Amino acid sequence: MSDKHLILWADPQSEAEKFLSAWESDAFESIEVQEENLALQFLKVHQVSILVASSSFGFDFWKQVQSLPNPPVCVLILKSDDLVRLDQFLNSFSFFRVLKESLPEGELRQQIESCIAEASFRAKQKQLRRESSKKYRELESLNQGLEKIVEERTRHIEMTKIEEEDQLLKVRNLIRFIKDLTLLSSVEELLQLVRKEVRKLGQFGDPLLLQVSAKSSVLYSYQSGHYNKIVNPKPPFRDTENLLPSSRGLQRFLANELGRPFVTPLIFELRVASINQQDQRIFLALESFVAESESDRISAFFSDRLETLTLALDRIFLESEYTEKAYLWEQTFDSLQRPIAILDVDYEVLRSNRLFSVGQSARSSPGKKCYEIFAQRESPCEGCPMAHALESGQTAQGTIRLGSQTFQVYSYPIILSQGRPTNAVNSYIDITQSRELYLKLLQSEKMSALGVLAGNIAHELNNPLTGIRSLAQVLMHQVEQGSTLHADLGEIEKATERSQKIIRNLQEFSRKENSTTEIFSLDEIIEKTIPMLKALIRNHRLDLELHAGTAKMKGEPQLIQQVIFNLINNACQAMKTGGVVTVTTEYDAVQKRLALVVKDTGPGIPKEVQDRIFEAFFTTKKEGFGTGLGLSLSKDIVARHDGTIEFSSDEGQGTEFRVLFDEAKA
Amino acid sequence: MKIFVVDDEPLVRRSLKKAFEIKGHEVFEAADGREALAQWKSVDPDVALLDVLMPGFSGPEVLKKLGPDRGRAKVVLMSAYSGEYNLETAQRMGADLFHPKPFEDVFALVKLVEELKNERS
Repeated sequence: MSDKHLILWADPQSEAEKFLSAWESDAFESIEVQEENLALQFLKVHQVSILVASSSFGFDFWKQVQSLPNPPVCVLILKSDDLVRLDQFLNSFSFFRVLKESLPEGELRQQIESCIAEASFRAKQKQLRRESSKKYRELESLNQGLEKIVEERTRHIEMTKIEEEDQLLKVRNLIRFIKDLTLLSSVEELLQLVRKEVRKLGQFGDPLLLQVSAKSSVLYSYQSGHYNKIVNPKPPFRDTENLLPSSRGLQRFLANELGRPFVTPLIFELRVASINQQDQRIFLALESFVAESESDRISAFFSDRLETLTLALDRIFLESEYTEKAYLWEQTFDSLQRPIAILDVDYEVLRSNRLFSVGQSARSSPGKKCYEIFAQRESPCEGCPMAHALESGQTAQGTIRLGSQTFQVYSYPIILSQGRPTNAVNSYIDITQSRELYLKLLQSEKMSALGVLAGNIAHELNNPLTGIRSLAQVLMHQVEQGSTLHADLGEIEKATERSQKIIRNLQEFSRKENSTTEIFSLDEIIEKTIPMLKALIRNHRLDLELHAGTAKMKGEPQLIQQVIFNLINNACQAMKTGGVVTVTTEYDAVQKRLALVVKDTGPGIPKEVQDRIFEAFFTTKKEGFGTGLGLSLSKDIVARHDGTIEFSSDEGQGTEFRVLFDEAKA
Repeated sequence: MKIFVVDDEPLVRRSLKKAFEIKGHEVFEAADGREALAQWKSVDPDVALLDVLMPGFSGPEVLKKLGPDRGRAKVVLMSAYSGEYNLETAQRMGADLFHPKPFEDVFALVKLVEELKNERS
């Protein structure tokens, strides 16, 4: 389109051509038509900026002009005779100018210029409108684009958010998994956890763990709630070198072990560091029933967890090894049959075994001193060798006494690093019994020495006694019978006789060997024994009620004497403040049995020790007063004579021992 | 009868001496085996009462050492260790009689000794 305006001059009576051709301007071009219809035709075809038309053209003409899509700037040339129509025109149409016919040229020119200006303005406006509408369209499309972008961004952000959430969830799951792993303490729990984890992923079989070496295999499985550990001492594979998780051999082996097909397996090797043996390998295996399409997700799931799982397993193995060793150590420590404690320089107990704190409510009360726990004391035990051991750095030994118990204490200093020991192990050996045994041995040695001595003394006394007695007999021969002197000598003679009898009994009693089996009267043996017990009985009353008469028994009289001696001795010692010992013999002619009964009026035997009185070395007497052998020896002797010994005792009432022997067959 | 009492216990010697003297015998004494051997010949006893256990030589040793010098003497061994010695062992050692110590009755011993001498002479 040219920049020039097109002016259509439509006036049949005008001299426009003359006017326009005289006006040379590059602002417009002009065309002149006279016909109303021609003008209309032209207008429809060309873009006319300015229409100058005569008012002689009909109403219809203008109507059509004004309904053009781009109506031109309209100028009406008013004919003088058309004034009447002017009102009608002006009311119906909009004219830019209404000009009088035959205007002076100058004025016309001015008017046309203003029309051109108007047309230019209109064109510009139109152009602007067009441009703005274009801009608007552009903007609109831009806006649409932006919206699209925003929408895309939003979608993207939303997607990212979901992804992030997904990722976060994954990480969270992983963290929880790791956290759960740290709480595991056994392979069982580990398999349980894996089982729980894979359940979230889809359909899987129960996981199992296979530990293989060239020599053996261990299969840990957790199947439908049951944990199983199968140790197979046979070599599982011919070649463990080339064993791979993907190997068919592994799958076959698992099927064999489980006794069922092991299908679509997922097998991962866990490279556990703590497996010390080189050829040991560990596999995690489980059957997967998840669709192929999920395999990426699953392998990601496992690769995320495999490393931590391996670490956890490593820890479990190490821990179980450690626990096992610690348990073993503790068991060993505790099962030691002697009290043992690990102490520091201040006598504080760091560790101790069960025997050390026997009877103590708290096994290892922190901060407690050894002497508080072991000896219930306020200060270190007298004789404790620990201080010496710590000072010298050498094992030290000592003896401590706690009540009636005696302990030999060995103190071994512990030197952890260079320098002085800061701890010691104390080991306590109860030597009470061996000490008692030693005392008893001493006592029995003493007794046997005493026996020998008694024999010797008896012999030595015998000689002068023989002289005294014989001399008395001689003198009695020389003095007048019936005289006081004779009677006195008689007393001397009788006294020496009694002395000799005692000595003879003493000799017999002390002579244990070479005694022979004899048939003898129980009553006689008792009468022979009593004189030896005079010293024992001096604070007590002895009642003899011997009713066995001439009934005889068979045996070794010395041994029976010993039984009588022991029973009477016990009876006397039981009655510290004096009392009555009754020695009774009976003869049961029907049963053909003899009974020896020794009864005292002492305090009786306490119920709690009644079961033990025949035990060797059991005594209630003070140290050095009894050997604890008397009753056990007596029981032994009675048994050897096919007899029985029993007792009845009531506290506060006294004790009665009843010994039964068979009568000797005639 | 000449009786030779060999015993280290003076009271035994004294009582035996008195008992035998009462019965009219002559009694010689020795306190141990050595003394007995030294006096044996001069005493020349009819009966010797020898204690077994004595300082110096014991009764049996005295007998052994005497040998043929013992003469006509009958010998009675006396001992408190009646378990170790009896008539049989005493006779094997050359004695004629064994008497355990202590004596119940000194005159019973005197009588035994008198009988011992009589039955042989």
